[in-house]
Amino acid sequence: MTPGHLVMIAIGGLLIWLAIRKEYEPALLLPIGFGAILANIPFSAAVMPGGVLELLHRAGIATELFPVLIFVAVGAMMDFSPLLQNPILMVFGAAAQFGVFFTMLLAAVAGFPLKEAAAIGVIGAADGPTSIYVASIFAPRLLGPISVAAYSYMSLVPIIQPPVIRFLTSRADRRIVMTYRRQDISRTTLILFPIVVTVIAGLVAPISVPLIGMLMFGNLIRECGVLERLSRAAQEELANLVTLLLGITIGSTMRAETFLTADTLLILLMGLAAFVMDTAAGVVFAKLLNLFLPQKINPMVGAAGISAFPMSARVIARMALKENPQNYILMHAAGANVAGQIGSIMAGGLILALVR
Amino acid sequence: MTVPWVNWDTVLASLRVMGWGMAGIMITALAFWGAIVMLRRAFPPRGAVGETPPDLRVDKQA
Repeated sequence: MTPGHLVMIAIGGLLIWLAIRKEYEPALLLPIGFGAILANIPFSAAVMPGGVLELLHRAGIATELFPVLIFVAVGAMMDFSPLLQNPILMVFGAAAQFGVFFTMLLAAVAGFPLKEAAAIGVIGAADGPTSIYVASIFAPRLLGPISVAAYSYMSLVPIIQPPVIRFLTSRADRRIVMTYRRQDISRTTLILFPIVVTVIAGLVAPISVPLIGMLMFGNLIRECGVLERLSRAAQEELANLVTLLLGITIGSTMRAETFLTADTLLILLMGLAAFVMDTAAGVVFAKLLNLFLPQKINPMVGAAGISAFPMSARVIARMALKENPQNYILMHAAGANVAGQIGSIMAGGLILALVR
Repeated sequence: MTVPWVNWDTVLASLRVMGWGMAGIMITALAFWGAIVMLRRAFPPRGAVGETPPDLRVDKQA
């Protein structure tokens, strides 16, 4: 056993501790941590050719199957009503993806080849499955650090976003009141929305169809109203099973010889930059829109345009209530947040389409 | 200025992807926005179709 193996086993232990004691994305970080331990036991049969984790990696990650199946589950859990009630929020889901492209540039300046830089940038999509999907195609050697960075920072959204928002907004900005008027959405609209989105996204970036298509397939199952049992199965059994296998398989890629490098440290730093820039871009874009809109938008809603759902929406709603106990912007923030889910997949799809 | 580890071709390619990517994602978002508006207009919630707006009813009574 080398010192590297010991360090990696300690890192695995740290991830398990973070999952249990701090409850940072426990469903992912715990299996990842344990997978890291399994992979770093010298001569571990689990990761040898034909070993169970090597087999899972070949079947679920190399084929991109696990992240795509996760999207069916996520789609079945998503309620797009807040976005359908206030469709202007869609633009925040796009603006907050700036961190993806900024981080890609940062990684290129740091000396990473274009495809690896693109995969690192996708950490800024704040969406674990998209990060894994793109990394497994563009940067298989960086899959471990990219996944750990993506999931760790997603769980740190309540710590990362507030200081960035406070730095970019005045108290008056944060106190902008947004009234919420409930509007009913017809069942036909709810059913057609996932189909229309899939077709539009597929026309813009055909390579994004597996991602957006599976997300919207899950959502169609949820909204159609006649597949209650399948919808529940996607939300519970499928989500739990694939998450379990995905986590431990990702963990098994974290071997000392590939993980303990300066690249990993750089990726963790750039992941943080990605989340900061996502938040900043969302806020700045909302402030820019406010120059033209008669009815002002609370700029904090722009920061909810990242994909970390529903954590980001909750953080923003809490911040608004702290500034003004009468200002309930949860539904607006939730709308921007689900738009971020679509935006992050589009960002991943466009990266795959544009980077050659 | 020469920075030994930087490949300027890669940096330029990243800038290109950034430009096209942000433009593409914004155009797609606007398309989604338009699609939502059209869907809502074409398929209003039950009860809203054929409902006479209150102001017209007032006019008829007058």
